[in-house]
Amino acid sequence: MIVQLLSLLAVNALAFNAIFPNLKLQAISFGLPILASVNSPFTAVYSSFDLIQVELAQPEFPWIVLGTVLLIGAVVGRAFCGWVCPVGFIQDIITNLKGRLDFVSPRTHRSAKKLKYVLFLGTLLISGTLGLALYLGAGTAYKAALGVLASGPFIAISPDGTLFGVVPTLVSLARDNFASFFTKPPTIQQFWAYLTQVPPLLALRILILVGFFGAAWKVPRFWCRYACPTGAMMAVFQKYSLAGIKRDPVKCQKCPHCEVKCPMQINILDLPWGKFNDPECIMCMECVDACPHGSLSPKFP
Amino acid sequence: LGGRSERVNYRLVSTLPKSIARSRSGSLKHTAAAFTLLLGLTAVMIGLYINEYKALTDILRGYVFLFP
Repeated sequence: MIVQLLSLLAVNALAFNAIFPNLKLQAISFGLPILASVNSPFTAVYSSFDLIQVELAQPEFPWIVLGTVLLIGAVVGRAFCGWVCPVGFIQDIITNLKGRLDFVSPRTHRSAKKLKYVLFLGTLLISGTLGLALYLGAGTAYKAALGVLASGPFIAISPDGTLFGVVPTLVSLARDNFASFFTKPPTIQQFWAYLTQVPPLLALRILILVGFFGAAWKVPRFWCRYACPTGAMMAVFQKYSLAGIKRDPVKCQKCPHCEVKCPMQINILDLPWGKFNDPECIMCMECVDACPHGSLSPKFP
Repeated sequence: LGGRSERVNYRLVSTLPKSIARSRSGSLKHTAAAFTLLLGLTAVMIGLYINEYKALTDILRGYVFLFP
C-alpha cells in the first residue's frame, strides 16, 4: 500500500505545482505500463497505451514506448499493475474499505476477462489504421470522422482521464460559480436545460467513472480484470516474464488461503508446481503473504 | 560430479504428474523473455537514434486536453 501511495503521488506529481507555487515540476515524455492519462493536467509520467495512441494519431511509430513496454514486460510482467498503477491503488482502497473479497462465478469470470483484449485490439485497430492512413497521406477524412476519438479512442473514455482530468476541471468550474449558485439558485427548468446541454461524451465519461467505482466496490480490481487494455497488453508478456511466483510442492498443503486472497481470482492451486506466470497475475504478492505454510515465494528469473 | 548425474532424467520426468513435468519447461520461457528483451532494446535504440523522445515531447506539448 505504501509503495502504491508513493507511486500515486509520483505519477500525479504535477499536482504539487498547484499546492506549492514555487515548484516548477514538469512532465516527462515517458510511458509506463499503467493508467496515467495524457488527459490529466497532473500526470508526470504517462501511460504507455495512451502514448501509443497519441503517437499513432500524428502519425509517428512509438519505438521508445513499445520498447519500454517490451523491456518491462519481459522483466517484471504485470507487476506495474499491482504496485504502481494509480487506478489499481484506488480499487484496492475501495476493496479495503469494503473489507472483503467477493468472487465472480468462474464461468462469468472466464468469459468477462476476454473483454479487455477486445478493448485493447479495438483501440489498436482504430489508432493503427488511422496512423497508417495518415502516413500514406489519405487519412484526413478518417481523422475528421473520428472527431475527439482521433487523438486516442481509449483516452476519450478512460476513467483515469475522467478522474484526474475531467473531474478536477469540473470542480474548478463549479468553484468559480459556487457563490452565484447560492445567491441566485437556478430554477428546476434552468437546471434541466443545463442537463440537456451536457455533451454526450462527458455524460458517457461520468457514467463510466461511476460504473468503475460501483464495479470496484462489487468485484475487487474489476477494471484490471475485465476492462483494462494496458493490462491486456502486459498480460501477453506476463506469461513469459522473468519474474514469477514459485509454489513449493513439498510445503504446499493445497489449502485455499492463496486463492481466497488473490484479487484477480486466479486458481493458483491449478497452476503448475514450481514457477508459474499466469497472464492475470499482477504480482501483488497477496498470495505469498496469505500462505500459512510458506510454500509460495517470488522467483526471479 | 557433472556429466550424467546433472542430466535431466527424462524417463523419470515423464512418470511425474503432468503439472510437475510442465514446470520443467522453464527454459523455453526464458528464451522467450530474452527474445522480448532483445526486441525491446532494439526498439528503444531505434527510437533514440531517430530522436523520437524530442518528437514525443513536442507532440505532448501541443496536445489539447480532451474536455468534452
